[in-house]
Amino acid sequence: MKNSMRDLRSARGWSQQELAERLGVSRQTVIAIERERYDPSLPLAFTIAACFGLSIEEIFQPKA
Amino acid sequence: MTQQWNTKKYMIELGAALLVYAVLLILSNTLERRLQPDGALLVALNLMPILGVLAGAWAIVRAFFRMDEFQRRVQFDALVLAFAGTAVITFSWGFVEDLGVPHLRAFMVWPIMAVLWVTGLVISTWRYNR
Repeated sequence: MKNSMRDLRSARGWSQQELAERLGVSRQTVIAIERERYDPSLPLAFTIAACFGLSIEEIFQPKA
Repeated sequence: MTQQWNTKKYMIELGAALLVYAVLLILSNTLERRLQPDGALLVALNLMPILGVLAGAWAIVRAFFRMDEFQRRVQFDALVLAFAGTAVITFSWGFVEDLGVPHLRAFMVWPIMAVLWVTGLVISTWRYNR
């Protein structure tokens, strides 16, 4: 999956560590998701969406 | 609770377990030398350090359940390599023992697995971060 998490995080001025703490995960997890090396589970995707105040579809898109 | 705190907690718990293991090992050897027991008491004294090993295993299990889903994925990938690699090495060793290769002590199995586990962690971390 593609995602726009890095852009959304940067737009809010959050560091990877700050986002990790907001999501309750490790910084390594944020890095892996931002690099699109790891697709989060549905519960974590919902948590990410809630953290940014967006829907899952606005953050995650299928790779073309 | 932050992941840093989880790591710190794990290091404290594992450190305490290793300390218990070391103390029990020394105590077990000292008591065995002084009392020179036999039978059930000898077995019990020899198994005494295992309480420290159990505490260490408990710390590792607790740390695993505190990990987030990605960290568990990385650990799982590494453990699969360790599990399969240990099976290949110990079975291969077992087959060639009949040819005169020295007997592999059971004590060696976990260190083999641990080395493969760490190797697996390096590979798995690299795969998700490249």
